[in-house]
Amino acid sequence: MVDDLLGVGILGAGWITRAHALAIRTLPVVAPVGRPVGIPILAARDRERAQAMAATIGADRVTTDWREVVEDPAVHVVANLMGVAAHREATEAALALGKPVLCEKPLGVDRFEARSMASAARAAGVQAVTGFNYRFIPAMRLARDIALSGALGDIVHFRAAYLQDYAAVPAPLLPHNGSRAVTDYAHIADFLHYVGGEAEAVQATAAKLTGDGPDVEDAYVAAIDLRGGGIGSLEASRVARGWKGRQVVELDGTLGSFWWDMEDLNRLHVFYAADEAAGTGGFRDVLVTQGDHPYVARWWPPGHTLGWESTFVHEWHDFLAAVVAGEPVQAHQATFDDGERAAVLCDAILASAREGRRVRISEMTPAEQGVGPA
Amino acid sequence: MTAIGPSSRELRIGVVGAGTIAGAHSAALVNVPHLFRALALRPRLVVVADINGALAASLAERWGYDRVARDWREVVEADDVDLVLACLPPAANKQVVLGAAAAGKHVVCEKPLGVSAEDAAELLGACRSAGVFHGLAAGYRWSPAVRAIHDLIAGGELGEIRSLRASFMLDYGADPEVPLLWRFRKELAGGGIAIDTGYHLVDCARFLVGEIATVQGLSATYITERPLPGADAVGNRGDGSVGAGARQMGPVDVEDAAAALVTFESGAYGVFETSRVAPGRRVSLRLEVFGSRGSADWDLERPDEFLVCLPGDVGTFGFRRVLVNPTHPGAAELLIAGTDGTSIGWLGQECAMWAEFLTAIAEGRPTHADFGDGVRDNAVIDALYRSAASGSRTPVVLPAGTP
Repeated sequence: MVDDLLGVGILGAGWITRAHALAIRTLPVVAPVGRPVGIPILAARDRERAQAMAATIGADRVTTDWREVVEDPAVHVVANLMGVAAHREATEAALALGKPVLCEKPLGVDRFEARSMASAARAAGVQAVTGFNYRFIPAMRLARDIALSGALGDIVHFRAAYLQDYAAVPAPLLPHNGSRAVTDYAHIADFLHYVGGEAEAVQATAAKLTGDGPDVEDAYVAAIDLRGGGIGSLEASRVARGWKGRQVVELDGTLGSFWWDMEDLNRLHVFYAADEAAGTGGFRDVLVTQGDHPYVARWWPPGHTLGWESTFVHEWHDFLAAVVAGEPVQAHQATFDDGERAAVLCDAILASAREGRRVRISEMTPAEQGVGPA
Repeated sequence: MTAIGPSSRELRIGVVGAGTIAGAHSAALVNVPHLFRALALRPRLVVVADINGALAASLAERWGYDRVARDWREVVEADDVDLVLACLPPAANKQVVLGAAAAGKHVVCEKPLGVSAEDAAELLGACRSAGVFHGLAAGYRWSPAVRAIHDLIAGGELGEIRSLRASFMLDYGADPEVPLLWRFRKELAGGGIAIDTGYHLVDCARFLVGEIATVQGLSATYITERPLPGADAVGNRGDGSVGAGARQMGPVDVEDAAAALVTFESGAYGVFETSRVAPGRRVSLRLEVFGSRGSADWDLERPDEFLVCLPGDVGTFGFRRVLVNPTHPGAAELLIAGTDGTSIGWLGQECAMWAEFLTAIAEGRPTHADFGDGVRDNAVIDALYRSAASGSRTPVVLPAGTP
């Protein structure tokens, strides 16, 4: 029944638009949300680009004005997939119309924008999610479930690194367009919270390591004081030769550990200290493709691996299922509050690197600014 | 049992053959008393014999032998030798072992024990008659990781063992310019790669799963002639021995690769494969066992870890990567830094083997991995060759009178 169509209006025609559209098109086959989903309209500043992308993904109409998408009556949900500088205004306009929004990461250019958007989402009372898609990798969902269950004990260490080399080559396939490494790789800042950790203070260094282009950092390293006493680190680079998509997330607790690497994304390595008593302690190499693993039952029988694109399917399913049900998104999905929390940590990292001192997270969330992240 | 000699704390060792494996044993013998501090017997390297005098002298100088000899009889008959270590090609080890047993010396023989099970049984019989200690140097069952898997199986952790996959892939023969060394000659080696490295697979499989009942084998030879080696050719690749003078070729009469499907007496089955013409695989030994409750996996290229899969918590069922650690048999002494995560390696397993042999001799008891194992290992290889020739499933037949 066509009247039942849930319309997703898309803002932006970059390569990430294809990832989201592929997921939306996959939903009925893999993870139905209770209503048919369509893409009635797509906006991009360049009309030819918009038309080409619309033809690729099957959007019904195009426009060069994001307002037409946000205000279109056939659009029930807005996907803001534009550059970060264009996130806030369009997102807040959609929220003001009571339309749920999925906004790509980083949520805003800084914590102030993110805070504004999070406030707007709360005021609108609709689902508003940040595009931290790696939360939806089954292995990382499993890691979160294990960590939050207490099976690994209290967090002693958290380490995350996101290393790529796309900006190290003379003619990058994927120009960084002046984006900041700290905020562009906000995924790893988000992962800290996702698996149960909170930053208390950071000491960071950041550097521009490419010859030309805007004066922004290409890489950073941050040491993190964790709430509760543990210590951790975050590192990201787009000029680390040889690494294409090395996103490593590791947690060591008082009772066990896990580690995961995006270059082998279906596997989670889990260690339980209790195993050592029998002489068979060691990291379990868990191939996260079983029916009792998150999301997997929707796909294939055990052993049939999933790819990067599956994260968007899971992200869209959980988002739209909440929209259809009229309920808040589940706790594992990144809300705008989570987007703000990551922005706060990123800003603390940038402040520490700039000022050469330890920066406390509380400095980034002054009480007079209103409600901060939980 | 033979008395140990004037120095009751020492076991005086004479080695016949000064090739690669003699060097490995020497390194282990030098190191073992420092690692296994509780040993009742301390090896002393007395004499090494080799018809290649320069090789013997080099080995003696490197590892501290008191003297060298040209003739194996000088070792077997020496008054100051308590144990003879036979490190010649298998066909040549026979006379050394028989001579040592006749002289009342303890014997350790490098694998394969014989060129055939009949041959091996003769050596076993001689040692039993003489009442001397006999040990088979098939080192991989002494790797702490392999012993740990053995103990998991013995403890029932993996349940009933249903199958074993074992492969030993090497490439030392991949280059047709590698000369016609003893390993490529049936009269000296008894066969090709099956009796050379397939023997290790059989020994490890028997150690882990038990006796083998039947064999369906096949073998293949890809390089049918090789350059004749120079007089001083040593090592698996005949280092430095080709190219002098007129080039002459000789026929290869043994296999480069072999595979077998076996049944164990327990009802389990096994799949074996070995090759010396597998490019890129230097010394790649892998053992996998599958039981009704779990599985284990060991790879010699990562000797100090093994993978084990046990019935696990829902959601985290997967192979555990277990680092050899002090709770594993023989590992505490080898982990010289006192903790897992510090590698042991190939030398460590040789030391573990010698620690057991020295302890068994001191206690006047036999060891596992003795010549009885050698007879059974040889019998499986014999069956493989018979099966490869006949094309049919062949029972493993032990020589008459095998205990």
